[in-house]
Amino acid sequence: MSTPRRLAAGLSAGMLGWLAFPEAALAHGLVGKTDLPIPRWLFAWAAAIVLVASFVALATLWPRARYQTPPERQIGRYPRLLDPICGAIGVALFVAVTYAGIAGHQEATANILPTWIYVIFWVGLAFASFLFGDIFRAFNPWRAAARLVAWLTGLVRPGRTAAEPLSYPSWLGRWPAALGLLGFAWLELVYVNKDVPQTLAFLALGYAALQLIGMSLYGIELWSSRADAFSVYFNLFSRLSWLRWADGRIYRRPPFVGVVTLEILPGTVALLAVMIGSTSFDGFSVGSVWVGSGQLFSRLQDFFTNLGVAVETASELAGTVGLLGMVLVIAGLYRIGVIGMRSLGGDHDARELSARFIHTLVPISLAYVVAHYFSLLAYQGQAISYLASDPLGDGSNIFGTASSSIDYNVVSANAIWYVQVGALILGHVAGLTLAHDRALATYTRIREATRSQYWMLAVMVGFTSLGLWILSSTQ
Amino acid sequence: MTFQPIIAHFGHWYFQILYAVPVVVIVGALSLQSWRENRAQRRRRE
Repeated sequence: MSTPRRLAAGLSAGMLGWLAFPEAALAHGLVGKTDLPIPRWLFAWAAAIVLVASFVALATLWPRARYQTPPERQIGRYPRLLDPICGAIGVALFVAVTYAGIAGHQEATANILPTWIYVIFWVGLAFASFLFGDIFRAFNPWRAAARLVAWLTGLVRPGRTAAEPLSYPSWLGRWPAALGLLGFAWLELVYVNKDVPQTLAFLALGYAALQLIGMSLYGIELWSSRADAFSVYFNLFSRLSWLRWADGRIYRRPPFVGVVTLEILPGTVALLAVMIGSTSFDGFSVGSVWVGSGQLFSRLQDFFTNLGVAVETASELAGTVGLLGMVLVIAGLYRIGVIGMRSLGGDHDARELSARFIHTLVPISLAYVVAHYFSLLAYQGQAISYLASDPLGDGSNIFGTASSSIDYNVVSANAIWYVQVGALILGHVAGLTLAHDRALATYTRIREATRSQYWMLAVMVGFTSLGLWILSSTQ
Repeated sequence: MTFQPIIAHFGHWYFQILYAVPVVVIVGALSLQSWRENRAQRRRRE
């Protein structure tokens, strides 16, 4: 048996074994009961059929690479002053919510900081980056602060700018961003005190300080584009957007194709594996296989408790194992696709193919974010209306909206499920299309290019089924 | 976890396996396709 077939057989057996844990599905915290016309698993079959049909359509109707250079058209201009204004707003918001975290009520639901970080910033900005382009770059508070310092340095010592003393090591690539995102995912999904406002505020200040040091050592733009976890994260989603903002000009392009210009740098595969793996674990960690009596979490927790570890620490260690495990599953799935690609066409090595096709995981990552967090944004995002009026939780009513509440009827459970399925299908079809286009540019013959994508198709179907299974097991 | 309880609660979890069916079908189809191509290649060499 060849390596890819062994891997595929192992994957199939592993998935079957993994799915075969008994226990009824648990209810998701936010989504209500759905009333669907067909069973949920049938949606996974339908999604797979859509992907296979898309693959066949691409193989027959898309004979040459079209989007290796994204076609862009300038549609407008914006004043240069907008950049520092947005930066000032970003700094002001950062100072305000951090202050609220330190000085305000320490109950998570009464203080604006946890909702701001986990809902508005982490989820809302991901959606906004896809819809409107790289917004975070303009509002990034630490980038704005660093640029202000650089500008002041130029004023005080004319002719001299704040030059970076060190050159960024090429081997470092996007590894700092991957580790930063893994750290944030751990904070959000594993750390026991994840919603204590003061803890979050001090962590935010520490992160900002770290970014300022990094930018002063390696340069503002270079550090932001490679090492700042959030800049890199939101920038990746903005590459899927139909809008690009640069140098006072606004460009329009077809959605999803901006990502083809993603620079091939070390750590990018790890970054995407962390992005998809952490979102998957977010769903998996509230699903029937992970939680519940006798399930994976309690078994791992018992294992660590039996080693003499305190219950709280054992819980965090179990979560850490789960998070890292899910990241490795995602990295492994992609690896299978790459090895399969290598085995079926051309004389390209696995490392080269892995780098050349990694951009195809970006729309999948966005699809996972939309599928997993749409309900959170739709429901919990409304909390910002009363939290903005009373950010410290001390009873104030700044905007007169402190008494507003969350309307859980704003979107139905069925609508959420359809958005989740639609996002997963669209994201994977986009990934498949990008992979097909890149294959046409990589291989000399069309047949070779199409054959090389057989295993990527299997990987895409695997990602879709995994995503839908995780979502269904949480509802 | 023993074999017996898994079977006993089959009705609670069998539908979870159904999510893996598309993956198994596609991997199976691809493996079959690869095997046929390799066999054809071997025959051509002979």
